[in-house]
Amino acid sequence: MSCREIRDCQLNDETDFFAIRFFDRDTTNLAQPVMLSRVAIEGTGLNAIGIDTTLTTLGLFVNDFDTVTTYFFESDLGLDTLTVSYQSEYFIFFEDCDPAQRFFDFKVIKHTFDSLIVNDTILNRRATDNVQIFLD
Amino acid sequence: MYRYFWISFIFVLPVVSSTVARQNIPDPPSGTVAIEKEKPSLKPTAVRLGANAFRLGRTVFDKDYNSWDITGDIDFRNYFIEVTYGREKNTLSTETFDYENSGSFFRIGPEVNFTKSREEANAFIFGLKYVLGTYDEQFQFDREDEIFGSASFDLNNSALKANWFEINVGVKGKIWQQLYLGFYFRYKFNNSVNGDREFATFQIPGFGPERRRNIVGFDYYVFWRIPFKKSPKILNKR
Repeated sequence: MSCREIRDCQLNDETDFFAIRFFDRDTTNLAQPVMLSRVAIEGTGLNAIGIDTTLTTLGLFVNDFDTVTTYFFESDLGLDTLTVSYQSEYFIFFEDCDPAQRFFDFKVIKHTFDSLIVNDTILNRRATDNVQIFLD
Repeated sequence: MYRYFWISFIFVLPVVSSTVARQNIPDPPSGTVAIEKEKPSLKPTAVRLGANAFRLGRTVFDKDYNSWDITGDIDFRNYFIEVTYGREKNTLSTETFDYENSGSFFRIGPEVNFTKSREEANAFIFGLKYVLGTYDEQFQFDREDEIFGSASFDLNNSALKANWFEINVGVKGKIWQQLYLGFYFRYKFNNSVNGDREFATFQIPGFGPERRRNIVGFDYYVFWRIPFKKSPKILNKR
């Protein structure tokens, strides 16, 4: 027998997506709006955003069944690619919840952007941006 | 480092408690009955063996749970050494997954008895325990993703080892002859799991949910005491 705890599946703050934020390379503390005509996820043929969307922050799903996912970004600046890798682990959050998955050791292993840094290696709701991309 | 502190503390406790427990036993009044005076001694007087009625009861009424544990203590004046061995199996089937674990645990540690009831061997105890466990887990589920497709998973964790510490408070009371009943509140903390895992442990047999850093458990025991010698002999009678 043990003490009861609050059992709410919504308390699980693990996510299966990561956040990208774009910055001006010269003024690195200011987020820079970027117009993207298309963001494709390799192997799916899906567009991750609406056509010709201007944004500063973008959330992208990772492939749950793999440890690597590649994305293609089409914009006025040209075509860029971003390949990320990660580890994951399945777990039971509570008995009443669906099987959950946590992602960690998140890395960018290949990209064609001017410059970027990985700001947070864990995917969860507390991460404001996992990847910061700096554009000229 | 923290773990070594607790292990040291557990095994130093009997030395400290034996010093505290020393007391003078007054001479019997000259008169009607004189009983052989017992010298304070660390020599054990009995072992007390018990079965966990709480686990057995839950096993009867909960089809997803199967567990038992047996315990034994041996006295050294005002303190005991308690040893427990138990097994536990949990199954959990929901609409979205099936989970099962099974394993065993071994608990050992000293207990201090705060009662003066040596003849009846009743006990109100405070104890520190170290617990070692080993267990297996299975986790099966289907996963569907709108973007990346679907897959079935059959994940296994084999021969994992766990350990944790406990602070115990409990009572053992004589009911009839050598029959005793008792219960424990066990504050379990500082759990650690070792071994290669295909998924995160959900429940550690004997501890509970692995994600909990600490947890309070309750156990209810039925004991039978086995004395090592007969009652003190009467020397003279008026």
